[in-house]
Amino acid sequence: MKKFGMKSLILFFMLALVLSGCASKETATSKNGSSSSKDNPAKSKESTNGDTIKIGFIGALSGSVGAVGQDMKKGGELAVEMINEKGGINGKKVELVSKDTKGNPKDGIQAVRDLTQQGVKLFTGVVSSGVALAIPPVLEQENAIVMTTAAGADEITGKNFNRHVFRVSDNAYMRNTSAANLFYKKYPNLNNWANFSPDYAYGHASWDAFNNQMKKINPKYKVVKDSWPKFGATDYKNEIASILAAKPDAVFSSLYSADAITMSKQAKPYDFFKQIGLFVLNSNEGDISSALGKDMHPEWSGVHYYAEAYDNALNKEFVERFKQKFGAEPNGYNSETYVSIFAYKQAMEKSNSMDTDTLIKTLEGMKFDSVTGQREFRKEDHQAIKDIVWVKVEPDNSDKGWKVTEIEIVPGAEVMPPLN
Amino acid sequence: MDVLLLPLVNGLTQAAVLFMIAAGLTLIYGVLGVINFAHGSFVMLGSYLTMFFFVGKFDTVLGLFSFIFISSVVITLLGWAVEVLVMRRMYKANEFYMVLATYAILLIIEGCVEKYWGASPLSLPLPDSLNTTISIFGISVPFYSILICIIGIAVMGILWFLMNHTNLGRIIRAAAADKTMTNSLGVNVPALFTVVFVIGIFLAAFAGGLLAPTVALLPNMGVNLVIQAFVVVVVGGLGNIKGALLSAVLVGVLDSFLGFYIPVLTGITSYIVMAVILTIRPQGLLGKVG
Repeated sequence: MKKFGMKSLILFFMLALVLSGCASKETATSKNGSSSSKDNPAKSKESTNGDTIKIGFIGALSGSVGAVGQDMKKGGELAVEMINEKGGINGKKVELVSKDTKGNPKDGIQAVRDLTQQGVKLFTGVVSSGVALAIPPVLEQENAIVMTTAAGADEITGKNFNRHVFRVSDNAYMRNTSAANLFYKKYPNLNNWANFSPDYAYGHASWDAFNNQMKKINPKYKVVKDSWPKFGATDYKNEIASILAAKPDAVFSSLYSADAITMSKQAKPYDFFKQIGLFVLNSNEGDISSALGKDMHPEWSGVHYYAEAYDNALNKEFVERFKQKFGAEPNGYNSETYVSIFAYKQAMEKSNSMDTDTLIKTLEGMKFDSVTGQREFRKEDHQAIKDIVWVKVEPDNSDKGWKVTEIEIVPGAEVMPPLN
Repeated sequence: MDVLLLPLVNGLTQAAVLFMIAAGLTLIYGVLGVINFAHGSFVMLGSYLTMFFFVGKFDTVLGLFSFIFISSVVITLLGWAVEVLVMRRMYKANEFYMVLATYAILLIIEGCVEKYWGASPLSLPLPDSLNTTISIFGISVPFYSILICIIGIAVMGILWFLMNHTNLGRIIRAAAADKTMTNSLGVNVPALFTVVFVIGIFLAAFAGGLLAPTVALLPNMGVNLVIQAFVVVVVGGLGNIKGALLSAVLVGVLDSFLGFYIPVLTGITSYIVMAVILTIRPQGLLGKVG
């Protein structure tokens, strides 16, 4: 037999480590076809001050949350296309340049550095909170701004506040505090809760906010089971069975994307969703429901945005144009990046400036209209005051396999985190 | 009782799938001397193809298993092409190049799957008749888990028969022990390599098909599986099928128990098992020294 190949073993594990991030992808989305920017940074730097405004999209475009980043980017592409059709911003064309962060902080920092080399000062996107917390020093150094559109960690606009960072979407505190308020009001008799969340920062922040608020408002509230599966786990059967054994009235979960799908599939044979009275999943932009199709379970999903929840002109235009361009109804990943680009537009037009410092000052406290109605960047922490949207999803006999039967909107002002 | 039985059944289910992946990996290593990094991508492809063939058609148990089998056959053909077109040219090269070549194959397969099916997680619904639990000693166990265990045992039996009671098995064992000698005795070693590679790929694709209805499908889902299967292979002793079986059960069950009782260890338990066993027996459970 061949001798134990130690060298190839080491190589194998090194590659395995590399793989968890997967291959890098760099794309330049340009409506004017100016793809020369990458080859000639000096020239492109000039063009920023000339007739093009470059907005950088950074986000995980590959790996396990790659689909989220790609959805977010679509929203950005549409916004840029629509702005350019109407003459751009302050007479200048807008270009979206994107770079994959693979969802990890190191590549996130590199993405910011690479794009600032190309003359980008304004960033949007960012899927992972880890990336959002890692990039502020570079942004400061390069005198750039990021507007995060999905990262939910409270610290981003809280403990780790940095004046170069704005958040156009909600955060874990807002989303999950609103869940406690809403579901106590709607289901006052469901007092025994179980937690089923991924064991990392986002899962803990979600549960802490929900749990703390419930303790405050419901005197009969009790946690009968606290389960913390690993992020990215492929087997939830042990947790599913032990949650059922604790007989909760309701289950709160912050599992998301593939994890939520795997959990639901493995829970189905146990009649999990029939045995509990209420299942709350704090992040399901319809992606989970669509993947599960006829296997979809009943749940209340927390979303950034839901197309049918809003009846305003901006939303109508967004939905129509999005369907035209991508052939599908927009989701909350699409909408938030879309909104962020228009927020930048308003700030640039209001101040008639491209200067970072001026733009930060303009954005602070700025009110702006969006597809989900008016939002405002709170001056002190740069957190957007925006609605929290919850939709009730139920299985049905349609081809899609499920439908939204109820929509609840909680005004952001009711659940803003306290300022330190 | 239930606290003992539940993690045991879940661990055995995991072990059955891990064994199928690890058996191919260890067989290929034992005979070809190649650590097949692309193994996980064939598992992933098995899941995707099963979903592709199955969804919306023949929503029955028979349909599901037919399509798992058909997908495995299609992927086996692909594996055959990979062996003939790529692997065969690499056997004489440094083992470094071999690992890199299989890594390249993995990236290509993953890239194609992502291009065709997208990066979003997908799901294959399990036929309703399988979506139930059965009661064993008063605790509910998913019926499909039991089925996977049974299929795992059947695969094990077939492999055992193949290796110990057929001519092919004898030649494979001979080639694993001494390639030059086997060749000089008139065995067509290149053809044997192809056969072994293809058997390994079939097992991987089959495992992927079985797994498909229980997890979300992602283009990179094979990576974690192949790393875990590799742990199983190393713990069992590189190139040793019996060792792979023993360690699949050990790793699968211990992972499930430790994860159940000490949740904070979930995900790293298999590495702890590997570290402990390799410290005591560096050559693996049933591996031979040198």
